[in-house]
Amino acid sequence: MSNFSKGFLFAVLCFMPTIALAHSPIEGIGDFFNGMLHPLLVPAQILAILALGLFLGQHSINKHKTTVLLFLGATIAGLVATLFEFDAAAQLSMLSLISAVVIGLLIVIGVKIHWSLFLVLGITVGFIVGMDSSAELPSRKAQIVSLFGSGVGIYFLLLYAMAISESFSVKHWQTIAVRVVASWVSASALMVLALSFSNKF
Amino acid sequence: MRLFIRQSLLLLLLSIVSIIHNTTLYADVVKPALVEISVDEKGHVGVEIRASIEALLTGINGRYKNTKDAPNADEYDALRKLSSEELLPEFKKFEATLLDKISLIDDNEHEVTLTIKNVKIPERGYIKVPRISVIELVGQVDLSVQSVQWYYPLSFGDHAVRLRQIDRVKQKFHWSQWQWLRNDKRSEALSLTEIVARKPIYETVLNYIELGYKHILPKGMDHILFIFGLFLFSAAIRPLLWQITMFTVAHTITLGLAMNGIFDLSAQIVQPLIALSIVYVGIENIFNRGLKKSRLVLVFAFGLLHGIGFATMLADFGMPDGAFATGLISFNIGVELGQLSILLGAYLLIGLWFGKREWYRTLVIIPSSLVISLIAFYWFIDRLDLGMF
Repeated sequence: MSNFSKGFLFAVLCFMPTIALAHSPIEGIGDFFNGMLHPLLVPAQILAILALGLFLGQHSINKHKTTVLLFLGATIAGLVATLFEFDAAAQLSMLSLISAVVIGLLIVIGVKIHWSLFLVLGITVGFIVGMDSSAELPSRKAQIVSLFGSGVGIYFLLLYAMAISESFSVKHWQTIAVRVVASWVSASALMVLALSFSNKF
Repeated sequence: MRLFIRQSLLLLLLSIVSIIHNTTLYADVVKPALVEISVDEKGHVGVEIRASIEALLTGINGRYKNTKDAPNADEYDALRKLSSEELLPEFKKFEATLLDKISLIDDNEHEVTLTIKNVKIPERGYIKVPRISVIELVGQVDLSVQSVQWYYPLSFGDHAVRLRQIDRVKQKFHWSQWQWLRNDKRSEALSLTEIVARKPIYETVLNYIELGYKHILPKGMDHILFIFGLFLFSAAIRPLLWQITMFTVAHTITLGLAMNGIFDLSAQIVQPLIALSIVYVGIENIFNRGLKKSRLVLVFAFGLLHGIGFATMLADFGMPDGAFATGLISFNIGVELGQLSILLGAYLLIGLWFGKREWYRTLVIIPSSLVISLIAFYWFIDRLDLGMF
């Protein structure tokens, strides 16, 4: 399958769920799948994960496997933290958007950063996105199943973004294309951030 | 390490046997009701409904794959723990509602008056599987009636219905074909006079293929995870084909044996072992890379177990009259198609994207296998019913 086909399939997978209303559970698909689609339905989350995935894909994933695993660990920690019912949804969305802007810009600039910063980015984004995935469901069991689905959705979204970015890291024009996409991600995150500020004041 | 894993699993297997005798369990999959209507030459009607009374009382129907998915699962579990003597009074309170909602309508659009003759509630038994009670109803139809239609509300769940014409004088009887009803509508007319032509063979084949397929996708979460576990073991096609072949051969053997009544094993033993087989597959994915004969032997053994699980489900649905082998083979084909769909889905969503990447093992196989094992371990403990969940 060519990179174009993979990209097309990815786009279809990403945009299929947008038929549904953002942030509201989709009737009849079950708590697990609702949770799994959650990161795709929340712009702040999808932008942050996409940005991180694109960033890692441009920097030899094999060298940064620890970052990805720490991202997974931090996501799980964030998901578990939601069970303690913090009311910080707005702040978390904002942090996700800020992460997306920063990471997007790092890709655009093409700057080399110290390996420890990769770990910090992985942990930060994972924890924020995990914590921003709280599910208001009638039973604790349904909530856990939904969070579990969110964990799977978040992790695989990152893997897809990484895989695409890695496939586009060989030729010069490909890296430019990724930078263009990253600039869109950054700009989109900035726009959503501005909108959320304008709603606030 | 492998020796340690195998020894641990052996210890777990032994522990099942010791724990199994002392269980207080709560229930599982929502199963369809089977309704059999008999009408004799004098117009006497007998209706036998084989259903879970606990599910009827709590309104847990086919919307839920598992009783635990329902918001009132606790209520169901409480009822499931009752002995037959304790459950009967609960059902008595529900009798009027049942009689009010079901109906048998003759070809003149008159509703046949049905009354409850008897209710047989089995003892509690292994409550990880539903307790199927038998509700016997009686009524009378006019001798001029040519056909009847059956209605059983969807709120009571999916069900299948068939009618038996009985001629006691000539000592003859004839069953109609099963009608599978899922859409809250009346059955098609069930003739009281004509011997209904046997369903064309392709209909039986399609029905049982559908049944087998649905048992895997989307209903068989444990089988899905098992197949997914086999898929994750190796991105190469050869090891996957070997494993799937062993699994298929094995479950076909036990499915055939169990359905022919040659071999059977209690669900109390099979269900936890199926969960344990998934735990093992996940763990072995993490610690082993190359396909060895021992893995194939184990996959074969696990296939034998899964086959018994398939047989339990198929036995609940019932086999077509005079087409036992066709039904069995078709069901198995459905199961295989379900497995192939999982493999295709896994390949399109995972193998194609990540299978050839250097980090596939570290970032995909190991975390996914760990998750599979954790879920299956939860099922294992749950199915042992130690009262922890």
